[in-house]
Amino acid sequence: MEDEKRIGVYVCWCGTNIAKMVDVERVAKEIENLPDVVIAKNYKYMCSDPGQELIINDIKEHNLNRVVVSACSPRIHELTFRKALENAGLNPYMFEMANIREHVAWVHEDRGEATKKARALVAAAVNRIKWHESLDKRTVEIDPATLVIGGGIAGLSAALEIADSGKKVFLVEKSGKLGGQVANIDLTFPYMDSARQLINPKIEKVTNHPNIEVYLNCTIDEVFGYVGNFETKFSQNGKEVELKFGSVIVATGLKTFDPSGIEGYGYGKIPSVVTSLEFEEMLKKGEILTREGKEPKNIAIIHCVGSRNVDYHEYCSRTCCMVALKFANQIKSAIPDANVYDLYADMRAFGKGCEEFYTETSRKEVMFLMFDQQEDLPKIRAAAPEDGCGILIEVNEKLSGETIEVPADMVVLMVGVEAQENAKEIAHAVGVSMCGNDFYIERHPKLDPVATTTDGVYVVGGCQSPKDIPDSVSQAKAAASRILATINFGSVEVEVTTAVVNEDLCCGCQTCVSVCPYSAIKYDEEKKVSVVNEILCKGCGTCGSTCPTGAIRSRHFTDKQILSQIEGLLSISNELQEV
Amino acid sequence: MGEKELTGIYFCQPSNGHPDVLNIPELAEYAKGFEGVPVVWHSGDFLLTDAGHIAARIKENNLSRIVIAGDTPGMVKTIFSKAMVKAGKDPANVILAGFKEHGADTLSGINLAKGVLYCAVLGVPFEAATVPGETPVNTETLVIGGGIAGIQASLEIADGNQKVYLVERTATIGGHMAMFDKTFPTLDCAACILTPKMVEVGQHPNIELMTYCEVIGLTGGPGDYTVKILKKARRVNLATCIGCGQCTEVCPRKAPSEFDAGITLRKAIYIPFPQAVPNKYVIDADNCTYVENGKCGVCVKKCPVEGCIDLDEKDQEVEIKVGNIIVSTGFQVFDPKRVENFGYGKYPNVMTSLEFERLINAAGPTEGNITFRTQDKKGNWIFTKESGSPKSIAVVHCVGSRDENYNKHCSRVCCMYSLKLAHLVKEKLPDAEVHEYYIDMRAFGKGYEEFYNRIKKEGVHIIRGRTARIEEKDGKLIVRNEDILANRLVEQEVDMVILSVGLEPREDAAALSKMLGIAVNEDGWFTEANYNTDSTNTFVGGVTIAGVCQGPKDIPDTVAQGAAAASRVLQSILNKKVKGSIKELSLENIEEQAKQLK
Amino acid sequence: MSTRVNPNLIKEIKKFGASDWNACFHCGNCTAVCNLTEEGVLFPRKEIRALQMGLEDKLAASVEPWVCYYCGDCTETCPRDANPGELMMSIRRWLTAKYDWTGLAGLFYKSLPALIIGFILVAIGVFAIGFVKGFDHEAVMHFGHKLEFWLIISVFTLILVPNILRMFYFTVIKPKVKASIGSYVEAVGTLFLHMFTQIKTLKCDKQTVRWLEHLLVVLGYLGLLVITVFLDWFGTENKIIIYAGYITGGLVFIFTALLLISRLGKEREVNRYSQPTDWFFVIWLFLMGLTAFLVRLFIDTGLLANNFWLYMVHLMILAQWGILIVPFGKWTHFLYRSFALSFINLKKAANNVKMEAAA
Repeated sequence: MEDEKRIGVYVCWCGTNIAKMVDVERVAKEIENLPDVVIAKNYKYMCSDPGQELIINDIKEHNLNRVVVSACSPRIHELTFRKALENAGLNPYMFEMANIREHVAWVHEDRGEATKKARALVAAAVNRIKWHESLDKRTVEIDPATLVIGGGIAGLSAALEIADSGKKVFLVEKSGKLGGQVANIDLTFPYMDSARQLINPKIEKVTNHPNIEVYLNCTIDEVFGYVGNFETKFSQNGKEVELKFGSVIVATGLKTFDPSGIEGYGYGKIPSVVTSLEFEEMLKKGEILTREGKEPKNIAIIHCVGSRNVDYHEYCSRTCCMVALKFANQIKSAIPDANVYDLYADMRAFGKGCEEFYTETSRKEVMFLMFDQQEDLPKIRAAAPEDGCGILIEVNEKLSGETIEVPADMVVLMVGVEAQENAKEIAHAVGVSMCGNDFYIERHPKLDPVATTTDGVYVVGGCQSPKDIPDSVSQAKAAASRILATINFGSVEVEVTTAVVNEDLCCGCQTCVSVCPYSAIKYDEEKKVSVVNEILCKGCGTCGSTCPTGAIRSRHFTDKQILSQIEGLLSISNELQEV
Repeated sequence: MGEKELTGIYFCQPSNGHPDVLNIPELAEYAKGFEGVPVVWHSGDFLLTDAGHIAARIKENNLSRIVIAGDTPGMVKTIFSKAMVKAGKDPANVILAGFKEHGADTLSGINLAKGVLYCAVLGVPFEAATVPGETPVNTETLVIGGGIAGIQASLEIADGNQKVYLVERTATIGGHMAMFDKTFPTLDCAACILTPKMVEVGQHPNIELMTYCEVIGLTGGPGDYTVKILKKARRVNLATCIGCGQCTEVCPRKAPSEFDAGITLRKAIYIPFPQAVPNKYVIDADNCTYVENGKCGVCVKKCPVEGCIDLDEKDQEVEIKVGNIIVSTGFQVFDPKRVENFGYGKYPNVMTSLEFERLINAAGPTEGNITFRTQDKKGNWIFTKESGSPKSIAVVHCVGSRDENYNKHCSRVCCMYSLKLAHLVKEKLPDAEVHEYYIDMRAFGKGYEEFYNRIKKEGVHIIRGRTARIEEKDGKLIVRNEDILANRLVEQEVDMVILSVGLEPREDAAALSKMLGIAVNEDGWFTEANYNTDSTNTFVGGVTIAGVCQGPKDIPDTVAQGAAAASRVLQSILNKKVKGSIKELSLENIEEQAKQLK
Repeated sequence: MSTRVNPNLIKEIKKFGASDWNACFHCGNCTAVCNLTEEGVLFPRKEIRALQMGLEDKLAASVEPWVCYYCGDCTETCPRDANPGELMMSIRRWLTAKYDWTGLAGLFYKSLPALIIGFILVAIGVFAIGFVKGFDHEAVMHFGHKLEFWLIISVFTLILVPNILRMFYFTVIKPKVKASIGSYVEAVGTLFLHMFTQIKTLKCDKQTVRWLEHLLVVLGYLGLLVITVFLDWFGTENKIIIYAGYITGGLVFIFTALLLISRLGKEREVNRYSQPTDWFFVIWLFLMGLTAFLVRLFIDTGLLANNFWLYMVHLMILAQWGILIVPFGKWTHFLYRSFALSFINLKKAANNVKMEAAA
């Protein structure tokens, strides 16, 4: 830390965005009078090239060693100005931004009050920056290999995308075969392509790919390390396997809901009530038969089994409506005289070509019946011999307002999807979080749907949330893209504003270990102190605020810096001074 | 295992929807020449209603495999599987030769169709037998379209240390997402999550941003494209403009603001919106007095930077060379003027969802207050803060979508954005009555059903029944609907109506597709290489598609697709080669490749 | 009490000409766009639903199909091209067959050969009568006049009245609609109003011309009926009656010609899907008016004695009209629609009472 603090302050007009509500010239003039401030200027657009030139020139000319820019939100331009400092030869962390646009000009209507507040915020920044320290950037190397957990369509697609780029992939699958749920189905919607002809070539390509190592019947218990430098150990057929890789793609998919929990559906009790997966089996085998071995004359399909209902799962399982329509078409092809009854709540045929598929299915004399999937489920019961069918379904049909009875020889339950049984274990193993529905949480639901808050770990496909084949493949490729870009770049920058433990002050209470959301702190048994993994640490400051002895210091957010900031806010006098 | 496998081929009737019809007789002729194919059937040869009959034909020809060929052969596969079982054969030996799946469903693709057939008969996967030749790849990439898809794709590639040209037709990147107020279901402020990405693009050392530019010509091939780009005359120098805004204050001409969906006016010299990237002014030549007749020029006089505004600047043509092209040109919204019954354009307070987004946005004409559209002294219809707030609003779903009379497709996002708008209304006007009229509520994504349940709890009246008519009576709008679930007719009086307009392909999409050599489907969206396994590649090597231009989708799916398109580009760069166009493969080549795989 | 769904009703109604009924995805647009729907009178979606689900009793109990005047707005705006307008027409044909106790209406709608055989038989019958009477024009005309009279009475009492009573049973009695005496009295007024004015058509958009054409045909036909049968147009010498006959006859064949041209041109939505019964109806009406007009003209110009074939033709047409089309064909819509509109009021009154009781 240099002895003399030479601070340059720049107050931005942001065109009229700030200037119309804050008297920027006055603020600059007043701030110039504060101790350690060498120069204070105002300018129309600090983020523009001329604005940045101004800062660089002043640093050189006035020998500044700290810069404060009061302008818009740091989310917008902190990086911009840090780069400017670097260009002028200063450490980028000797910089602080005061937000007088989003926090002042855009939210207040009184120019006098706004100017006072802006002045206070700038003074706070000036006070804080006196205690800033130089921090050096840190990058880590990237191991170009990738671990893909899960051998379904998402996992296979991600593996191929990376392997076809000449990079190594380790594909680990918990079952004895690749293919996931796509291997269990007959045709895909909406164009009725063969699932087998889709998945088998992919499985073959993956199995024979020179860059992919496949491990079947294996599960991952723990992944150690950090972005670019992960490793894991597991046993396969008694042999120990140790893998090292730079990125992880979690593609563990979903399983189907077990409808035995729904009393009124009689699954497991009434023989010819089957799930959609069981029906796919029949379609693949080429024989649609009731449990008595007869061809059904009446088939009912019921949507939303275990979905869209707070008693089971509140969420929508997304693909069942389209699969049901697909089934209706297939039944009509195999048994042209069969009566098909489709019991649904809302027809979610939203994808490309799907509404047209719905229209085409409608024209095939399929009887669509609507029920309330939250309040009023259909009741299925075995029929008597004189009823002329095997099963009767009672429905309060909403489009007609009538209570009706549907005859059926077979009922297909469109079961929803839910997280795998070992979803929690995998989440813990790789360090991703789960939402209330046990799906894995992405870094940002809109703008970063496959990355997670754990750098280097991506979640794709069904395990992130229910989706169809095209969307699973897209997500898989999106993750592959990020990994390929990182590999091409060669290294990854990691956060430097991390926490660090002063071992002398640490009392070994381990409070910090339990509160860290990134599992970045470990307790060193030998030294009896906590140690922060600076690569995993995101600098959130939770540990620092809970540490009872003040042993943890959050770099760039030290107590001294924050308290000075507060002092700066309060120190400036309320009335605007004479200038 | 010694007996040879005999295969029967069945040709389905070509389905309607495509203007070019596959030449089935020619395909049948080609098929007759195959070894091990004793019989070729057509759709007229037997009815597909009797599996026993088909089984008999299978047995009599001693077949152990069936190939069904057609646009979507899977539609009839199930009865053939059944017939195979009846004939004592393995039902898994029903192979689909899908012309649509592999993009061969137009007459010009007949060689490709023959290839599909050949591979199916031989029993090899089509993608494995249609590996196109590879060519060296120029590592620079062109991204056409600067909306969220193009932005995401550009950043993925640029972060991988490769150069990207991002060409955007308008004066700023951001696309439609920049116009939204909040996004569903998280209710993030759209601009807040978008602008940091826009700034990242603007500042990225590897991205050359070319705004106010259009792609007008293309030559070359995969890995080595020469793209002709029209740099429209901005008439303002990007490097020297300091964005002071003095020019726009004195400009005498106005035009409807595209960014504000036409509900406000902007000057002829303008910045599209305050967070535009690049944040520089542009002159709208169609509304500039100087461009029209050489008069005016006050902007030049006021501009403090010498030479910054050049009113005589002409359009320029430049050429760039790239190895890969990503198309992310987005969409346009349906124009509800086409539906007379809704009174759009006739009744001032019937507006589109985009217009309402701008109204409710804090940067809009009323600073986010929901007020009536009224006439000012000059007779213009405008929104002002003072014109009073509606007490009841109707939101009408499926305007121009799911409709054989307009667009048959579902626009996928409207149900969710309509629920979002209802929520925003309730937030700003808690006492207002909000009525939503829908056909099916498509709340399918992560967190969407929960969002739907939340809106229901907020007291929004959600009614199943498509609005048929909107009329005016005594100053109120009457929305006429059947409330299907309550069995009554609704003639709801409201103050304002929001039409949830659908998404449709841009008017220039067809022209762009021709220029690039990629296909469009019957709705006009760009066609992907494979619906299931490859929604971003096309049949042209080095050209990928991403975002809504491939089909309507929400922001998370668009972002994922943008990144997925980038993946193929990065792959080609890492491999130093790009795959060629599948449609350039000759039939002989496909046959050779297939034979080698056997 | 639950009703069993029946997927076979659709197959039945398909024989009456329906098309694309199952494309309907119940958006409710048709019901909302229709100018004739009001609270308590909702169609056509509900009928399509009853049809799709096979709720035969519900469909037979509905009078809403008769409220429809087939303006075609629903078909034009239907987002699924499910053609609700033509479906309502098919339901009306099915209902006509349902109300008919003889079953002949159903037979003629479903089987064109049966209809043609019927026409041929009647024509032969008339020819035979003429033959028996030696084609003496006075004898035959005398017979013809008597025939008209007795035909009307027998058709009315044996077919039309029982069928109306059956309609009443299906739509009011079986579904247990309880309305007050006062509403029955009002209903009579409604009946005659709509029977003679078809005034509800005017509520539809852009139907004024069609309404006028149709009204003139109806009034012309009724007038011609009264003048020929009860005022003995062919036998009278009263100048006023003779001219009145020319006017009414002229109205009939001129305006049916216009309706025929409309049906040929297929411009109006209502004319896009013509079934054989639609053609027979309008062509026979045209011929009736034309031949009647010509017969009187021949009488007045003294040509009839030597052109007696004209009267034979007229009589054949009349017999076919009166024996086949009136009791079993499209003619019945004249009565069914008018009664339906009055039954609707009964239903609405009963509903109001129920709602007030519940309140």
